[in-house]
Amino acid sequence: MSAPTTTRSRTRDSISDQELIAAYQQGDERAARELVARHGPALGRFLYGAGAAADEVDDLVQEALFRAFRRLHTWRGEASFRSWLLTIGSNLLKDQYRTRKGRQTVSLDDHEVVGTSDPHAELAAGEMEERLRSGLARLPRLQREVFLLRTQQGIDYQEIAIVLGTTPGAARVHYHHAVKRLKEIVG
Amino acid sequence: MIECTRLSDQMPAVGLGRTDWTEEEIRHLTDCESCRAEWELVQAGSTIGKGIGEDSGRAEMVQAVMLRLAAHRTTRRRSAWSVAALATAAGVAALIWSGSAPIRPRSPVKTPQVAGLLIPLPELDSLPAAELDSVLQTMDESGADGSGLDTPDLGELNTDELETVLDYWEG
Repeated sequence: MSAPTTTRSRTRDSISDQELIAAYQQGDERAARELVARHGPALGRFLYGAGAAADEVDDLVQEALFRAFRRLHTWRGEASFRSWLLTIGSNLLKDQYRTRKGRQTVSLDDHEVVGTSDPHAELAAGEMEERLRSGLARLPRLQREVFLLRTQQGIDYQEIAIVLGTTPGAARVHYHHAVKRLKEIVG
Repeated sequence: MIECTRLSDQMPAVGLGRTDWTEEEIRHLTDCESCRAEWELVQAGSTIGKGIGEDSGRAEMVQAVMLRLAAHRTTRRRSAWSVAALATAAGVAALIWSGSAPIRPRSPVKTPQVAGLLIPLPELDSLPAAELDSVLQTMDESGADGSGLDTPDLGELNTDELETVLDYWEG
C-alpha cells in the first residue's frame, strides 16, 4: 500500500483531505484519525450554532462522522470534505428535530467563551453569542445554515450553493435575509 | 467611497482572522450603522460555540467512530454472507425441484398427495411399498411441523456446510 507510506513521510497539514480519504480507503486508519481531528471541532461548533444542545454535540458529531465514513465512496469532491461533513451533520440535526416533533433543541447552557482575558468582554461576548443562538433558532433552516457556513466556517457562496443544492445567488439572498432578520431579533 | 455590499462580503474573512480591515474600511464601519450591526453579528457568528467544538477532535471521539465503523463492517460482512447463502440455498432447492419435474410416463403407482397438492415424484416409483410408506410418513411429519423441504435452515449450518452448498451451486 503506497498511501500510508505517503502520509507517514509528510507533515500532517500538508496532506490534503482527498489524500487522507484515499489512504483511509486503502486501510490506513491513521488517515481517518487525522480527518476527525481536522474537522470534528468545526462540525461540533456548527451543530451547536445550528441549535444542538451542548451536551448532545459529541453524540451528534460521532454519528455524523460515522455516517460520513460509511458513505465515503459517495463524496465526489465537488465541495470540500468539510462542507460535505457539515451537510451530513445538518441533516442529522434535522432528523433529530423531526423525531422530537418540532421541539427546538436550542439550549441556553453555559459554556466557556474562549478568546479574551478581559472578563467583561468575555461576558459581553457570551451574552451576544446566546442572543445570536436564540436568533438563529428563529430563522428558517436555509437562512440559519447559510449564515453559519459564511460567518463561522468562512465558506464562499459558490461552495455553499453546492452543499445546499442551490445557486450562489440564492445563497447570497438567504444570507442577507438572515442578517436582516438577526439585526431585528438580536440588535 | 466604500460600498456596503463589498464590505459585507469581506466580513466573514475578517471575522475569522484571514484578512484585516483597512483604515478606510474601519472608518466606514464606524460611520455606517447598518454595516456596524452586521459586523457585530458576523463577529459573534465567527466565534459561536468555540468552547464546544474543541472536544470533537479528541482521541476518544476518533476511537469511538473507528470502533463503530469496525462493528459496522463486521455486521455488513455477516449479512452479505447470509444473503449469499440464502440465495444459494434457494437456488439449490429450485434446481433439485426442477430436476425432478420432467414429465415421464405415468406409473401405475399412485402419486403421493401432500397437503392437498398432487406432486409427481417418479423417483418413488421403483420403491417397494414398505419403503414408500416410510417416505410418505417422513414427508407428512416434515409438513406437519411447518418446515418445507425447499427451505433449509441455514442458520444451523456451519461454515464448511455452507461452503459445500456454495460449491454444489457453483458446480
